[in-house]
Amino acid sequence: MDFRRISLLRRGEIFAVSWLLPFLCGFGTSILSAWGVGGGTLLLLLMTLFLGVDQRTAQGINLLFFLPTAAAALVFHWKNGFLDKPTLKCAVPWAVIFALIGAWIATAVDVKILRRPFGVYLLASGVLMLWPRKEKEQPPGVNSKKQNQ
Amino acid sequence: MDEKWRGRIAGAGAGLGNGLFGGGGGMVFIPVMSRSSLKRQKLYATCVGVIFPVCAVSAAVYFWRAELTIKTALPYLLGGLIGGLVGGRLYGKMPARWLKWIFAGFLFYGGVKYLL
Repeated sequence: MDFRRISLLRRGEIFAVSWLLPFLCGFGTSILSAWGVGGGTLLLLLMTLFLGVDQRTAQGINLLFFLPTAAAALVFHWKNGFLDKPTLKCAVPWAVIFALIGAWIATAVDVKILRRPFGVYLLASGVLMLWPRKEKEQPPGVNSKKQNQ
Repeated sequence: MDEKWRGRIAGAGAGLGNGLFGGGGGMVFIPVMSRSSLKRQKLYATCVGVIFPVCAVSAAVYFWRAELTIKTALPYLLGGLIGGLVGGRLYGKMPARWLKWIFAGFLFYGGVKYLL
């Protein structure tokens, strides 16, 4: 009787750790990013700091996580003509090549090496996140139409 | 700076950062490109257009070379899908400003944790 209870509890625990918590993290992150808050790094941090997912797997999941949302957004942007083709033509080939290099490095070296750079990256993101408020006070001529958000 | 080279450098930086850290390429792309002639709305949309292929090829590399499997990613993806639908419905009904502050605080917390 007692054994059964324990195994049920444990099964519940495994379910929570491997399914429920990941599901809830994905759910919450996605809601926030739909509101324009957060984006990818939030999920990444939840995974590595609280769910004990190892850094590399977390990074991979984070990349996958972005794809469906971005695809939906792109369809919308495409229809509204918001995609700037000259910029895409310049940026995409270079971006793809350097992404391959970056991903290659991340999967080749000991991830511990990347901890400090990632920490700096996070701090910089935090600063940048709060930065645009100041930018609004002194619009540089061209961006005088800035009534969004 | 030449607009073409600005685009290439922004793309390269975003690609490298995104591939290395598994996200956040937009955080490189937007600041570099914000000095170009692109309007804000186009800038953010174009950023997604650059990051999408970047994430796709990086994810492929992680699949190929790291311990990533669909099974571990699935609960996150399902949650994300449903969260996206719910978030879209609730859009504009929540004050995004203080959420932004909480999130920035969380980023600082994470940054310090990673540095220590």
